[in-house]
Amino acid sequence: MPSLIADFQIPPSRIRTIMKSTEDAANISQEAIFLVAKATEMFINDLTEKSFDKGKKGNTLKYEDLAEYVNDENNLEFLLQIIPKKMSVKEYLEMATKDERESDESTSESEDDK
Amino acid sequence: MVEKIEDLNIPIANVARIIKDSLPSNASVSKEARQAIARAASVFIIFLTSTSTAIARNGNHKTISGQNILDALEQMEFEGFLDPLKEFMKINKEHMKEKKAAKINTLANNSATEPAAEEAIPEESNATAAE
Repeated sequence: MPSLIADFQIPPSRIRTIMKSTEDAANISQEAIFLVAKATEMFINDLTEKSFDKGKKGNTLKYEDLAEYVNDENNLEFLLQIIPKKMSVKEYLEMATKDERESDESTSESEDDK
Repeated sequence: MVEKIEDLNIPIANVARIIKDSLPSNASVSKEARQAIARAASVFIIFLTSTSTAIARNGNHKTISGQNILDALEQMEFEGFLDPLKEFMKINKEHMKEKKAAKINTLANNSATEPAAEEAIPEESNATAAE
């Protein structure tokens, strides 16, 4: 459970800098900055907890746990490029050839595959 | 004004502390995971900012308000955050009020030397006027 105290784990000044760096950022109220600061804490807390719970057995939160969780949650789609699931080169090649084979099968009419 | 690239990220120490508080005491986190979470948090802020900027604009406001942030979170499907944040908003408002009141009190006390003299002799404002 995130703490509700009026204390910040992330300096609001840094929050403001990041917010202002976005394109055509408007003026930002103090209250908005505080809310973003708190929301970000909650976000980190949530991502950490849920990924850890979902992870395989073990006491260490690993990158793969995060990638798995991000992949499964609809509202974390914006993170798919940030925390992508990794695959080995072998897996990639298998996937690539599988796609090729499938598209060959659907376009060929009477010819059998060799 | 050019910002250093570090300024566009949340200090990793702060991220590490929040992560630590979110895990059981005997758990650990890999460096790679910690860095990924830090990146994700920065992206979250940016996404939240652009969503709330759009909402503020639609309402013809030039300043992003607290309510814009809440509406943005709802749009981003983070409804679970709304209630705790509304609670935080309340606590924060009261906190600010108390701080303000305390400040005014301090100021009033500090500049009290002259007013105190005037208070002691309220009727004689003309007689004690300096020339």
